[in-house]
Amino acid sequence: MATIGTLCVYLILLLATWSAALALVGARRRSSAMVQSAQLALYGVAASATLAVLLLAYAFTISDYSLIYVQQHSERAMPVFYRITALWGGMEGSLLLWVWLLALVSAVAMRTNQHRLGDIVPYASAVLMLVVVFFGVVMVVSSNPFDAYLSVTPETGKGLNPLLQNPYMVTHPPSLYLGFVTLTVPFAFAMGSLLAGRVDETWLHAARPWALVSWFALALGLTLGMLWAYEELGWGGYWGWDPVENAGFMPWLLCTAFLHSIMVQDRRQMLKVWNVVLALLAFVMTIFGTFLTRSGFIDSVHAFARSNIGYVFLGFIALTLVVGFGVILWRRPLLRSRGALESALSREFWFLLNNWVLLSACLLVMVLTIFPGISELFGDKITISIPAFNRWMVPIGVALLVLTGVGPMLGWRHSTAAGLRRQFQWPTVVGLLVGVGLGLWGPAAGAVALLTWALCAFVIATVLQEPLRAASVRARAAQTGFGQALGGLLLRNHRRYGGYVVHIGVALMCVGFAGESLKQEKEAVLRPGERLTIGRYELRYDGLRITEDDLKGMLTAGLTVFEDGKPTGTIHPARWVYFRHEDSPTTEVAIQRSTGEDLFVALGGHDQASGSATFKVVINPLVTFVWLGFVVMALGAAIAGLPLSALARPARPIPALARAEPIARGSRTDAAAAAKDDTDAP
Amino acid sequence: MHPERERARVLTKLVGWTGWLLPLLLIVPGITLVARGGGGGTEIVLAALAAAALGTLLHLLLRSLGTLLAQLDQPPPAPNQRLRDLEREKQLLLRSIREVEFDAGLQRLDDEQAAQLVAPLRQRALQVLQQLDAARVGQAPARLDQQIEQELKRRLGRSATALVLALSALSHPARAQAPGGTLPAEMLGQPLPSADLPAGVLTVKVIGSDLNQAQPDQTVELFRSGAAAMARVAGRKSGPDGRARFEGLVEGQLYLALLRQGDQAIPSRPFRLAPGAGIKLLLSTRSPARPLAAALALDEAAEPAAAEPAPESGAAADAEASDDPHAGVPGAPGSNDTTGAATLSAVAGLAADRIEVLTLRGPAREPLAGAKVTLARSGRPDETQRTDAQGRAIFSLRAASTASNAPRAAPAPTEPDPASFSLRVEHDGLGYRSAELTAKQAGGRRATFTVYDRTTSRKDLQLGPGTHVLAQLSEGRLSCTHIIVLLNPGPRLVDLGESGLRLPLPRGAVGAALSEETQGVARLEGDEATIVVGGPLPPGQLVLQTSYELPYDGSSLDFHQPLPLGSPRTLLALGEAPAVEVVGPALEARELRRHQGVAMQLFTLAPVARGKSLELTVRNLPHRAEWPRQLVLGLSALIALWAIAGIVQGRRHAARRAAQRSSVLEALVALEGRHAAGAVSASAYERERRALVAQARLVWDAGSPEAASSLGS
Repeated sequence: MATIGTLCVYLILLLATWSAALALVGARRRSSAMVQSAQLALYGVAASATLAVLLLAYAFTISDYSLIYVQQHSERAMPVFYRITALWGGMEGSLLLWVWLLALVSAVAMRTNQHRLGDIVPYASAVLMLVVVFFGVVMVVSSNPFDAYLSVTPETGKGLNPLLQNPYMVTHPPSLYLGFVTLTVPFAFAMGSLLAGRVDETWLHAARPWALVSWFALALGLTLGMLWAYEELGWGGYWGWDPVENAGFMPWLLCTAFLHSIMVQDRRQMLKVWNVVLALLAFVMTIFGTFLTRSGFIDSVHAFARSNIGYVFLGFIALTLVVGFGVILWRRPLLRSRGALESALSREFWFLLNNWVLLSACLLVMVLTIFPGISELFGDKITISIPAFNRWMVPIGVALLVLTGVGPMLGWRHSTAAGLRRQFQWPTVVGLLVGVGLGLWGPAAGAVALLTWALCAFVIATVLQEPLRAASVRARAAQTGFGQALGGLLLRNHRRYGGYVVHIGVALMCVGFAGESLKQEKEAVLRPGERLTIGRYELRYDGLRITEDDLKGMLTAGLTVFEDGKPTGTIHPARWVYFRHEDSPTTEVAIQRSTGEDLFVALGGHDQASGSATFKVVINPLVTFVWLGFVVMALGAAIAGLPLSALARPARPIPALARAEPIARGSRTDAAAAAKDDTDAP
Repeated sequence: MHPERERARVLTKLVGWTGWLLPLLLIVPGITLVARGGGGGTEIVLAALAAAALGTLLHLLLRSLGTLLAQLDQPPPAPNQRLRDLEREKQLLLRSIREVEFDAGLQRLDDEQAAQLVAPLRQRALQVLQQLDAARVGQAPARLDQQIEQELKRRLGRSATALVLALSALSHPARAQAPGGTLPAEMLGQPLPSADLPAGVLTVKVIGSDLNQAQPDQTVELFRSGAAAMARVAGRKSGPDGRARFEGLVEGQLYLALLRQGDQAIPSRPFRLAPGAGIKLLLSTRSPARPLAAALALDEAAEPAAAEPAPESGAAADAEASDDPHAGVPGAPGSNDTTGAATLSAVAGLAADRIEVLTLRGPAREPLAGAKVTLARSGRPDETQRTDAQGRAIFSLRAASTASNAPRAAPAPTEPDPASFSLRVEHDGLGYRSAELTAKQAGGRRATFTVYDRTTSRKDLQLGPGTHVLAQLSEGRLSCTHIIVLLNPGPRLVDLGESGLRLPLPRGAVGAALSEETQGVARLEGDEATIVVGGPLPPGQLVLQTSYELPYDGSSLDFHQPLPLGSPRTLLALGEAPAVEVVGPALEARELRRHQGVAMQLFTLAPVARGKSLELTVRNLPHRAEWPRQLVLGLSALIALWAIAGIVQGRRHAARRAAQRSSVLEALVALEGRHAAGAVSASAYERERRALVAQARLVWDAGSPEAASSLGS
């Protein structure tokens, strides 16, 4: 097992180097043989990595403790499910997972673009393989998951970190890794287009689907992380600006900016430099996140993933930045924009604003995240608290909400004042009504929360208004029914309206975030039979129960919940102590969910003699909207990403579009294709 | 033959026999699964997927190498870059026009603005469409002879298997298995921390006269230090392999294991758990047994002892306890006193609350009369007396304990509490003090205090018999427990001065630590590479125990330890590593013993003169071979260098190709000229032209100036 696995790791490095070298030389010499061979070697990397991952998973399945990594991260008593997912429970395995995902993604990306982007693909493939080479070197030199014990094989495993034995943690890391890995593809295509000297918009079309996948995977990973933090860490919240949360959040911000700015380049041939820089920075942020996770430079709840190779990642970041910006400078003459900003009342201008805000948010989060580490280098360590983050990030979030609402209302190039009046009229009214209404008759929330809810209403109104208005225009112009026009419009412009659905999801999440201002929290020591009152709830502590299974001892409290004086059920917060990790008890919170609010109860310490226990009880209003918002965002991403336009019946061209036909004189197919193309494709 | 073809032929021939490797690789995991008794769904699925992945990998490797060999340097089919650019621009223009008109439809733009925006777009789109039409007419489709490529790939592709075979040699070395050896007496009862055991676990192996004589069904009992005495924790019978296992030991507690033989017992040395490790113990049924109480009392007393004072056979011949734990501990830094060696023993007929201090002088052990003896408790003097002609002074512990706190009470010879005290003796203007002594048992006690003449000469100091190293293999390092017996054979106490006695550890030792007992008499200095014995050494021997690790990264390790003192014949015991060899001039004998898979090697090392070094080489250590890793990294570096060279050469290649293009074009031009002048026949013209065009295709480049100009025209 160790031998074959190690061989696979070596093959990954050798084949990736070979592939990168052949691709670069082949592209340079225009040798298709070399390029094809490089591509096959790339597939070989994917196969080697697949084999390595399967071998390691198998080793976990059979508890092969001759492998150090398996012994250190699993034990026989663990369910097979967790034993296999322990594969990414430590440094070596997660690196292998990264390489595997990257190799698979590279293979698919190169395969699907080899004909469309024949001249860019070799360079992009080389860039992807160079990233694999970096990870391969790290694995070969210091993090081979197939290293075996030299002398005596231990009989028992050390088990997986208890915090990772959670369903969310099974999917959270792979989601983030997938997000990180897929951001490598836009970077590779950006660099490939620069190296090939083909800096038109072609590479964007190859990069966009991967950026979308990355955006979704990161959002999924972050949401799963929030759920994990909410239900596992027991502090009553879901987002604490932990450095590793931020490590996933920063590339997500840049990916969001990238997805918006490539639309500008695609439509207006502007922001060419900006887009390649964004692709570069987003990729660098993925490595930076890994540095934060691995180096221990910053304290984090993810401290279990620390190792001494974190700083190698810092070196790789520096190298990537130097080479990346070097290539951009080299190709600067080719990156001149063909279009220009014609008006501040244009969509491209507001997208640019949106980009600046997103980039600022990313840089701010980065600075605040690394500030404790930096301050420690120069003296006393200064910790940045959650309120400090919020002080900066809440205004930025509000600004982004404004941009989310205004951006879609503007046309490309220019919008007229009269048109804007018509566009803004109803959404503004809805926003004001919601804001004023909640201010007068709603709960006693702060001004920021009221503003946020008003803006959320404004955003949702704009998003709903736009397709309705467009369908109305189409129905009138094409003399069809409104329903048919709307359906056709949505299907044909699924990318645009998928993006709008994402905006609704963002607004819903912001509704939940603003609900934080109504949060109520209490902590109390209760003896059996004693009660605690919080908001409209009363909790009666019924007692403690101690049980155990093969892996852990479980201390479970029973509490009866009374709502407005009537019992509504019982909840059972618990603490688990894994036998192999007795110093790391886990908190298993009990949550009574409803649409309006969550009743969150975490069990703290206890006194076995008296039976008393400490409870942290939190009422989290509107938190359901956070999860609901993500579901809507996921739906929007699916609408935008899936080829739904194929389902649309060919539409009769509306007169306005038909006017384009004379242009394509002599090329009728062009006009027909134009009529079917997306009108606007974010 | 063409060099490429020749190379392909040779490679094909070389690797042809490896064609059956793939089925073999698929069959082997299957057989393994069956042999292991597997058959679980997950395992089968994983094995099948692994086999599929392996097959895919091999197939891709074959294709990769085959494709490369088959198509090396063949020019690519020239994509028409300009055509694609025009196509792309057309799409963009059409989309821009639609967007403007869509926005106008939504009343974001009025008609006038929309018309202004659309007009230039339409104009440019018209130009692009015209250019596209022109470009399409002039575009010659490039064709490649795919059949030849496929045939070459088929014939040459198998050569990639050679790569797989070559790389399969890059494996880990075989892991060494456990070896063994003979049994030094010092190992009996000696606790050996073991990282192989979980923390809190103790295994006791009971043997006869030799390691291979496991003694099953022996009673092993575990005791833990209690408030007043050792308390029994658990008892186990040794298994067929002679082992008894205890779990749940608590770090920091003092334990003792003993082999019970009726009323008699064979005790181990007391021990505490090392952090994060278990303990292995070896007890022999042939070791001298003692009465149970004596065994426990002995060890109760011996537990904290780091120094073993000179024998005091006369003074405590009839006592049930012997050496006191703290005897011989050096004085505190800054103290002007010299340490005396004090022992505590029981004396029959002495009241339970009485301490008789017997003061002796030098190795002759003559009673020291008229010496001033002070008994101190908690560091404060309690009572002072002068010794009588027999060197005795008697103190009352209870009285002493109350003297400083409360009015003296009547002696009550009941069960006395454990009492701690220290002694200070003044004689001839010199001060001597003992370490802290603790009387834990009922009955009167005698503290025998021996004072010595002093010397600063170290010439008599040497390492004593019993000095040995217990070594055990760990991951990439040798974990050593080094027992150093420091012998002062002279009659006088050796004053080591402020600098102390420096005993270097073997070179390269890391993670050195002193046992708890040794920490009282010595410290580590110089990046923990040297043991410094601080206090004066009374006659007799001082046992130091240190542990350290000797990391290694190859198959051998040089053990080099400078010895400032002469060393007698010593022992090196190497556990569970039968394949490991020890060589060197110091090696006198080697003995290998095996029993039930557990093996130990015992090496007898020759005496080493003062100021020389103990030098050994440990060979055949299990290790991860570095060469496969270095080979892979080296190969990767070579490939990278080749790529850099290839990229640099790419410029020259492009220049060469440009020259070839130019040459062919000139030849074509010349041919056209001759044809126009009637200097060449029509058939010859056609033939020559076809040949030249074929050559031109070979060196054509879509991005070349010629291609661009022809497209433009």
